[in-house]
Amino acid sequence: MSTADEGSQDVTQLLLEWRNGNERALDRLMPLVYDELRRLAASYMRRERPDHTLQPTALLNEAYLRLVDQTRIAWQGRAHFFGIAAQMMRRILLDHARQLKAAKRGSGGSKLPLEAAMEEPQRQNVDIVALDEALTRLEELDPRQSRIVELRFFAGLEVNEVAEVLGISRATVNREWAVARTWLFREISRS
Amino acid sequence: MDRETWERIKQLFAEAREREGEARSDFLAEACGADTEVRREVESLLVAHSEISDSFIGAPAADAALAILGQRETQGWIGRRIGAYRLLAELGSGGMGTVFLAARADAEFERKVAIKLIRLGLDREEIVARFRQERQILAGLDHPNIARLLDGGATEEGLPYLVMEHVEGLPIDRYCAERDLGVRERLFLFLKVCGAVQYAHRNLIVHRDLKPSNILVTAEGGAKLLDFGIAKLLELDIAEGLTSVGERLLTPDYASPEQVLGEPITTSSDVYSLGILLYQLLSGQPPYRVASRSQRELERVVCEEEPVPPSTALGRREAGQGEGTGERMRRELRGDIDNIVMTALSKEPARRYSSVEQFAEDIERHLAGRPVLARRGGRGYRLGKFLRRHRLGVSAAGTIVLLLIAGVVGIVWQAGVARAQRDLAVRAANSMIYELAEGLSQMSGPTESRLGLLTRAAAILDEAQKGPGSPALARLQADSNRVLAQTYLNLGDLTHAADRVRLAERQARRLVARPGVTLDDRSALAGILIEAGDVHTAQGDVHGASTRYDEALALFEVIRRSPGATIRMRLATALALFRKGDRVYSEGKVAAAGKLYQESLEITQALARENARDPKLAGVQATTLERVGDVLDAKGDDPGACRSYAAALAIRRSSSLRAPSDPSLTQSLAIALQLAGWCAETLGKKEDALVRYQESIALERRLLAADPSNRSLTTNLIGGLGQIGNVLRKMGRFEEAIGWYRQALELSHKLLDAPQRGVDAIAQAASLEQLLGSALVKAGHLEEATKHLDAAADLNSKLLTQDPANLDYQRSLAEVFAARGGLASRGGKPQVAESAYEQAVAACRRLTAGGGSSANLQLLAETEYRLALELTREGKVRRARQLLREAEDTLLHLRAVGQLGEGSDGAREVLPAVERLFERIGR
Repeated sequence: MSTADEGSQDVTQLLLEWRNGNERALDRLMPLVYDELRRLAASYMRRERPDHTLQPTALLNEAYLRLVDQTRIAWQGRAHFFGIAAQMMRRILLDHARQLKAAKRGSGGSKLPLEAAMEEPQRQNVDIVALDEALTRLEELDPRQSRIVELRFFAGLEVNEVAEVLGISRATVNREWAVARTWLFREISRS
Repeated sequence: MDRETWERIKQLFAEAREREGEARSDFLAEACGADTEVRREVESLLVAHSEISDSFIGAPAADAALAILGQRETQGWIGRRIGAYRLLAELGSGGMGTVFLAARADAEFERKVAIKLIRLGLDREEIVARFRQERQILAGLDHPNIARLLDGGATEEGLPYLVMEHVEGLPIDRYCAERDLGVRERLFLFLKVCGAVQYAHRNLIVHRDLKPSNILVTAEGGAKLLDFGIAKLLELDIAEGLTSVGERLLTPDYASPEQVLGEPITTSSDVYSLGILLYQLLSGQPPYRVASRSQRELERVVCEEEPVPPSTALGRREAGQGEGTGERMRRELRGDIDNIVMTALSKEPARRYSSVEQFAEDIERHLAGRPVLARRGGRGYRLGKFLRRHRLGVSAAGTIVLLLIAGVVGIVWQAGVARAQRDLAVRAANSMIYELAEGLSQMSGPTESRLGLLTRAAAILDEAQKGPGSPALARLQADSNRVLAQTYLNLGDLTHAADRVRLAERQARRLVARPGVTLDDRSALAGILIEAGDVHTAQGDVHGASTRYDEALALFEVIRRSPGATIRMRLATALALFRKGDRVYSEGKVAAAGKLYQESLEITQALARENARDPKLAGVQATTLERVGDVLDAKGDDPGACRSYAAALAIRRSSSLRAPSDPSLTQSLAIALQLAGWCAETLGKKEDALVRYQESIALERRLLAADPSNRSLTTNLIGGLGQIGNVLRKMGRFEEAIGWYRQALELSHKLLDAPQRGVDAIAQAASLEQLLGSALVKAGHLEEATKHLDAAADLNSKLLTQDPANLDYQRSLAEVFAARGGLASRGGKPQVAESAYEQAVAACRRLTAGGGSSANLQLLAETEYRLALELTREGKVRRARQLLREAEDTLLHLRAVGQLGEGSDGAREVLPAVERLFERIGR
């Protein structure tokens, strides 16, 4: 059996196990998804793909198609996969923001090479670290809202895509998003 | 806060938002009642909602996250285990990925290695497969100046990695700068690098990405090259390596024009990169800078911009620093070094040094104070060297030749130069051409540049021989033209060879026609006629060749028996006999050819006994021995043939040992090894045969690497590859055989595509198509087989229109048609089969028209039988009977003289098959 098939088997199997309540499956799943996303992101950036722009949704879809054997998993598999990817991207941004802070403290504010990549969120003046802390609290309060934020903000999904992934109506997504956004804004402003 | 409260808060928040001012406060007061906690929460959210800006988490951060991800170094890898190794520290990262210091996780002694984790979006399966393929080749690179590739694979996540020898050192440019090395020290260090690259090239590995960061120098001053063959392994390509952040996977600063254009990369590309490296090491800066990273700009700069010589670059850099070390270095660079670097940096590969070896040798020459090969523009260096040598001896002539080269000859003539001086000029030109011819044959290098030199020399000769001269001078001129023709022929330029030999013949005939004709004159004409015969043979003009050889032989017979015959004349006679033998042999008159070869051999053997000193003697003798072997082989005397070949091989080996770098001797040795391989094969030692053949093609490949456009080298290599295919085919290893045939055929087609293809090239391609076709039949690839057999038939027909008497072509044509018939018959195409068999029978009849050998008669009978069988199936019984009768006659005759089944295993079965068919359809 080829290695790619094994990979696809692994991810599919782990996804199924995780959905059936095996939390440890997620730990094994994350690195696989991580590396696939990293590889895809890198190849997009090197313009190996026909469309040279980096479209998050397209990239996530491609990763999903590559990693998961769709014949073995119900459509919710995609939701779970996107959820994992969104969490992962949240973690990436958080790590990066922390590094930036540390680097600025350590070296008197010299620019990290990766800073350019962070220009977008920087301009938004979002403190990713604070946002992450607030989001963690929101998750306790309202897991679904936290999921919506992850999918919209960190994974870049459109409202209808979020609705599809979570299996809820677009109106619900919009309503919940508005509340979550307000709640997070207040939390961050307070701190 | 419990879930219920939160749900209430959300609900109230949504509803309150629809109200404003007092209405909102009233609503909240009523809805919350005494629950102040809920009320506070909703109110605080409403405040937040009024302050929030659209930009707050409005645009997704996904792009940024993915951008970070795409660029992310392999953090978190330290301490991880990859394969048998544990990662200890990060050593650095570059375009390809990150390099870690690692140690074997299970070893007692910590042997440090470097692990390169490839960060490219490569397909995991593909990279693993490719790595497996290349690993053996790369791991085989065992050289003190090359960092070993130890292992490789893919991590659990599928990231490819390479395990390499860990080298502690500085990049070569930094090393030179920090130690403040002088020009000579830098050159010596560079030579070490060349040695390593040269070694890799001999193993057919091109680096493709030579740059300072890939060349580390240890504290002890040893150079180590990293990443050999890695670019190929990862299929990195400079032309496609653009990244969105403007970085390239390979460093374009060291890329050759062909790399930038995405053209095939050869050892010559490494020569170019080494040229840039040397430029940088000596002048402290790159030869050119690519201002923008666009492909167009890159192409413009790398392919068009002519860099200034290193000394000028250094001068600019040092400008304003006064007379100092800079100026001293500059003086050291000016001249030879400038020329050497600029030769390596030629835009066209053909103008560069043909090998790293040549590059390095030129630097060594410079270091030893000897003249270098490199001249601006790359042409004419051999000529320059000749002039330098001869200026000392024949100063008057030397001066004139120099003037000729300077192109001022016309002015000098007009000024009325004395006749004696012109005589000297012709002599000098003649001697120069001899030198040149000899030099060119011993020199390994691209054919193009050698042809360039020759044309230059010919122009000088033409200038010098204007106007009348003495008979001795005329003879010299004719002979010079002969040598030119011969050299052109050796280099594969048939057109110029024909022009020159025609001129020579005319000049010599004029000489022989005059009253006081001498033995020397006759000898000159005879030699020229032989040359003319060779040229005509190469052109496929059989008749022209034949008459010239005959006339030359007649002349030589007279010369040889004359009392004044010199060693050279006797050797020339031997050569003429030998050439005539070749001609006769190809007409199928084996016995007659054998007699001619034998006579030739007797002359050279006599000369050898007399210890005659002639540099050509050994070669002529060995070649004749090989031909005698060919004849014995054709007569079926295998042991005799092998003895003859063995004698030839012994001479070849000792000649080659005496001058190991002489390419023509190496080539002859390669041929002798092929013959030895054939002997081993005939004696049933097939594995031995494979070893000999492989030894032979290794020599051929080495020669060809130094001179990629050389036709006869290519031809021999093709032959060698084909032989290996033949052995494997006979061993029943058809698929392997097909591989070797394909390699041979690929080269062969390159020859055919060349503008000046000779008959030999077509003949070779024809037989390879046939061999590949029949191997494909054996392996069961019938469709492809058909394609190649058809190609073989076309080529053989073409050959026969040029040389209708050639029995080899006729036989091949017959075989190919027979095979085609067989295929069509198996494929259920009776019409096609019938017509192919008809053509086969016709070819066989032409083949056996003058009597014919038993093998050819057997082929005739067999094809007649096959055609009869095909006709029977189609109900054409009458014609079938007729054919069967003929086949039977032939076979019975062969049986009567005891030659049935000679040379062909299946032949004996034909007669019973004929009888059986007769029984079926009646006589």
